[in-house]
Amino acid sequence: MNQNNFFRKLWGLIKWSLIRHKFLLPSIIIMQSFMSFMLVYGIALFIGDISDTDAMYLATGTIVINIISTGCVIAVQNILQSKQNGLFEYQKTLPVTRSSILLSEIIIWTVIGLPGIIASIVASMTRFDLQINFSLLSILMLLIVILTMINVGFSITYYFKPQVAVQLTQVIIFGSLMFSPISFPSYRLPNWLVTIQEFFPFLSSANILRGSLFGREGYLTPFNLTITMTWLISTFFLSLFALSRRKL
Amino acid sequence: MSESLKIKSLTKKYKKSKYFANDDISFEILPNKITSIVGHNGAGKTTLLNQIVGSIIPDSGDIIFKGKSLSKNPNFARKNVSMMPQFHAPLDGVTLKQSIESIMYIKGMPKKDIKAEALKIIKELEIEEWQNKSGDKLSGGVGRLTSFAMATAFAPKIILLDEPTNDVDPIRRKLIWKYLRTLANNGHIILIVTHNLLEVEQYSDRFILLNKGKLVKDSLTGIVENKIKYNTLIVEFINETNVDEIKLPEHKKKNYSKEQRQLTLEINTTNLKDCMQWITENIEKQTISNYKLSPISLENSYGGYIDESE
Repeated sequence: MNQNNFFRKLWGLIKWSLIRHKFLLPSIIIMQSFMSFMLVYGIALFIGDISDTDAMYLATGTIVINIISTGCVIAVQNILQSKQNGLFEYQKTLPVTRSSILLSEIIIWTVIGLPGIIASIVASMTRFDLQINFSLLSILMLLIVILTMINVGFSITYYFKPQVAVQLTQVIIFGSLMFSPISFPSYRLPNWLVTIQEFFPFLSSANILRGSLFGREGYLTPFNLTITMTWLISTFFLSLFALSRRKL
Repeated sequence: MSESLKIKSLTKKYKKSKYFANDDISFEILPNKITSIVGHNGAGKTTLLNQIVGSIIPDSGDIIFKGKSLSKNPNFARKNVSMMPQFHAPLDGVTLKQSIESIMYIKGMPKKDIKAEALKIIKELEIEEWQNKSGDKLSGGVGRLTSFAMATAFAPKIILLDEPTNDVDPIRRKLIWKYLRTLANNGHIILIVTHNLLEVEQYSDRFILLNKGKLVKDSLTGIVENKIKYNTLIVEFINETNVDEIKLPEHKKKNYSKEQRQLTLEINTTNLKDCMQWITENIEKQTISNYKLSPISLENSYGGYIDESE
């Protein structure tokens, strides 16, 4: 397949998907944006007096939770639905490569996730008067985190039964919100729990955003980047493998 | 290079199943012909289609097109095969027209031709009135027609259709078959899975009967091939009649419905003359009110190829 053909088919898949989701997309974007403001302003009410560090944790937490809920919850539910209504299998009979099916989904969910993320940033800036470090590096890191969460979500959908996948997404979102040092410092949790979480993509993603978007030192470490990138690359290829797999 | 589709000793058994879905099936499908696959539920028809399009790997055997294995080259299979799934294509949130246009674009039709070609197929299937209606609001039949249009629009050489006329009204069923005939005449290889034997008889060039994964009959649907041997005579009696006590023409099978006073006989073609005489006599005697004599249909002969009790 030549390159033009590949991009044409990729664009065809994206356009078809955008038409299919024309009513769902605005509602997801509105809800995600609304959730960003609720998280920033709501959690701040629990805490009361908020220090600079607390504000930075809450801000990154809001951004990461937003990305997790888009990639690991909403995208999962949407793909599960496409598996149930036959779209998933139907796409596999079309004259398109498996990578273009996966890429089209990744692009769509990245685009869907962006307004909510921007809302999180705006909410954090207005509520806590935080300075956001917009640079090529921070945008690249943000993109890596978004892609990681989307691919983790896809892998969950492709490898787990629907009921298990739905439960897993709930565990991830509530676990990240309540028991992961994403929105609060690590010292508030037992060491063993933090150590376990260091090897999952959620904490490492939050840390690289703290280091890049908020310019805090000691967070954008090779370790955090390696963990996130490992999850991104492995879940991408796992998803691609699942899509390429034929029934035995 | 041969343009036919060759199925060679195809065997498939699912891990959790006791039976073979396809058991050493071999046949060749030529272009310009409409071939139907018939058989009970679970006979292995859909599995066969899924193997041709490359989404299921056969246990053994091969599927060859243009000298290349479709089983071993799923990308080549998808490029050369268009498939209409058993349950119609996903249409939620997309209008009928958008669905067809989207698939045409993905299949690589030149952009400038898409709108006109989509409209052409919409008109041919007489579904213009629903063209701007969202797929989730379409009836089952129109959804199926949309799915049919998506499969056949800008189609590659091989077209596979899984029960394309289900839920479709009688008028548009004819349009589907007419459209398929045009595609066949244009050199496409058309393979249809269906349960509608009357349609097979009327519109297909050939039928392949599968039973428990095995190919039990591969035959042309023409009258010379199938219909000449036996005929069906349906007679309606005026009064209640004990058919065991009256003289009947020589027959192979007999079935009498007391409530309807209707007698069905399977008559050998060599006995047709005697049969006609018996009918004439009974009309004159005013014992029968109506009759119908026709060549035996595929539907009537179907049970003979397989175990009817299944």
